Amino acid sequence: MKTKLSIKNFFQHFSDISYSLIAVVIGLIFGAIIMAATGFNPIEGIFGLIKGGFLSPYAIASTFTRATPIIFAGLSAALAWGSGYSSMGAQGQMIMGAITAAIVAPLIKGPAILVVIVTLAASMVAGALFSLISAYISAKYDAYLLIITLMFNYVADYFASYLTNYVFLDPYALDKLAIQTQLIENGTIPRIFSRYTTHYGFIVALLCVAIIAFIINKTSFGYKARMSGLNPNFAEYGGIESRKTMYKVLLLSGAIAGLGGALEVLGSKFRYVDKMITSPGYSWSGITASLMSNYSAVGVLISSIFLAGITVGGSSIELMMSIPSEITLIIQGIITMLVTAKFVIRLPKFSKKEGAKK
Amino acid sequence: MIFNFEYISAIISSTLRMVSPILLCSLAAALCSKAGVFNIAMEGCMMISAFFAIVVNFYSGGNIMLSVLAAIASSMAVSAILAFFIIKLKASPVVVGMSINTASSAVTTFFMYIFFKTKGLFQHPDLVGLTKITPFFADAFPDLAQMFFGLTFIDYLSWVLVVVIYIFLYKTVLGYRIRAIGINQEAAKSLGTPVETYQFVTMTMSGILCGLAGVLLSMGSVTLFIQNIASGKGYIAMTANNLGKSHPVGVFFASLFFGISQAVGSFLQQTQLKGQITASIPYVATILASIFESIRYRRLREKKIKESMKLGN
Repeated sequence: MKTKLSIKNFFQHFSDISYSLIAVVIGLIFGAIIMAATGFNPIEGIFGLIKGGFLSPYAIASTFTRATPIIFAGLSAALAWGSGYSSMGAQGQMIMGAITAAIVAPLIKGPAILVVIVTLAASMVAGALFSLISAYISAKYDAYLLIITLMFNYVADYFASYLTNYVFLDPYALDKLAIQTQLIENGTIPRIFSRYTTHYGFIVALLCVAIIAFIINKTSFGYKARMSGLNPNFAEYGGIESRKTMYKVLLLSGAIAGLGGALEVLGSKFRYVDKMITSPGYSWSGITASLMSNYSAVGVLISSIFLAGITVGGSSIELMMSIPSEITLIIQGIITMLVTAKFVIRLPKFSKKEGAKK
Repeated sequence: MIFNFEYISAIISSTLRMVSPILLCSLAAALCSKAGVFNIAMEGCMMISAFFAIVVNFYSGGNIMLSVLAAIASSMAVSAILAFFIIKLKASPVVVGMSINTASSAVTTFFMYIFFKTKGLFQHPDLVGLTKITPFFADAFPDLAQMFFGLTFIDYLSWVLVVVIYIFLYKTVLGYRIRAIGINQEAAKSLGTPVETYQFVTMTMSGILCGLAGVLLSMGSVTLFIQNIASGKGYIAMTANNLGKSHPVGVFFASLFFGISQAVGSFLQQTQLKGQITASIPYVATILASIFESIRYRRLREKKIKESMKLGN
């Protein structure tokens, strides 16, 4: 009986993955159709996406660099959405983390490692606090968390933009049009291989995946969070204090997002550049990644690398074939739409199986 | 200086122009939530329709009617896709809605490059904006009329639609059935109402409203298309729908509030305040409005409880 159950679980798990794979394939097919309809060669286009994202050491390194912030946004989303709180706040929290890093890092004097640790800690606090504000408003005033976090994303973006424009603008910038803070000289995160852009932030991301996977699967806090995501009424009935869990979940997810923003500053840009978090759409890619993997931490890692890969491939086909790189966002949108529709396609199949057993 | 008549009339005039897109979208949201479906894709519908209005406008040599029709058709198509996913495939409305919103931004940018070979902003002298209607009392009260200059027929239509939708929802059999679905889906189903069909049609029809809102964005006070032209108006409209408790009249006043906050925001740009601060005013106003609404609602409920306790004694 027990083995049977685990085999069934395995297939259930496998079908989760297979549905995400089907969604990915359909997404790519749609992408190809759009390319064909707009007069591009679809086979070359799709191949270009994959080649540009995965098929050379340089491509893989760029993909890993790109994936780093997406993994953090994805972990943050997996925690929040997996516990039933559809928060869109990762973007705002990443912005707060990034701008905090850009402000704090130049202020600290000392060995680089100390600067990095203090800066990352400060950014995590900033992200967590920013998440706390929307969590508090949503819990205290019964406001819809999705809308509150979306509104705070705009506020965070304008706030960071204000700080970069008027308070911390780089006084030595050669390009006067560039809206950016001062370059961080002491306390940046080094690259893993000097030839490629991938920095140690990616290793931190891998560590975080392991930590979050542990928290979700092996701790009582993770269990409570998952339960309140599956069925809030039942969780409440079973003695889980949903308020407390909500605050904990959202604080942690904010801290992770803040860390992601900080690593993007310390590892790739070395300063805060206006709109550096908003325009690449890290947050939405992260949410897509968490949905694709059904809120599993390891799944977030794989999906994030895939999404980052087609994004990197997208910029390469824009350069080589002048296909607008937005095609990857369209593909990503189609994938996201399909991954939640999967439950319905699967459900009748399961009821049939159980019916056959009886 | 700030309180002279011209300032006030300028603010009122820009408020009236800002209200209409939010009002149309929040009416769409109200219709959907009355029918028991959660629509969050107004942002995407607006962007798509604003874009196709400009495309048809450009290629038809400035035919306004065709542009409006194209906008409505494209927005209805997007709403139908959304409805299909939510109602037929039972996908998560939040996820599908958000993917439509983000994909719309990508789709418009992608096709902007295909059609116009540019990304970001498209503006062309051949584009024709919506005709501005001069109010009929312009000669009699020129001062008053000043506030209504620059309004198009869609702006006026949006006010009419408040009444039309109110009558539709509360005075017709069809509206009654739709509301019944929103209140209790199972009960409506047991009475033989084809719930899913009703929801599907309501959602698709709500696309018309978002389409009109999109036309206003790209062909209203300015005639151009810019990346992410909706800039969160769809989300603000959702809040307006919540504040207005999905009632057309309530939604109208909530939209008016958000229109004012946007107008004040864009008006303060002329003062010493920095652009980033004024630009965030509508979003902060949305958050504050949700808080105050909740406090007010709670007080009302407490009052009711107290009164009922008094009656009991």
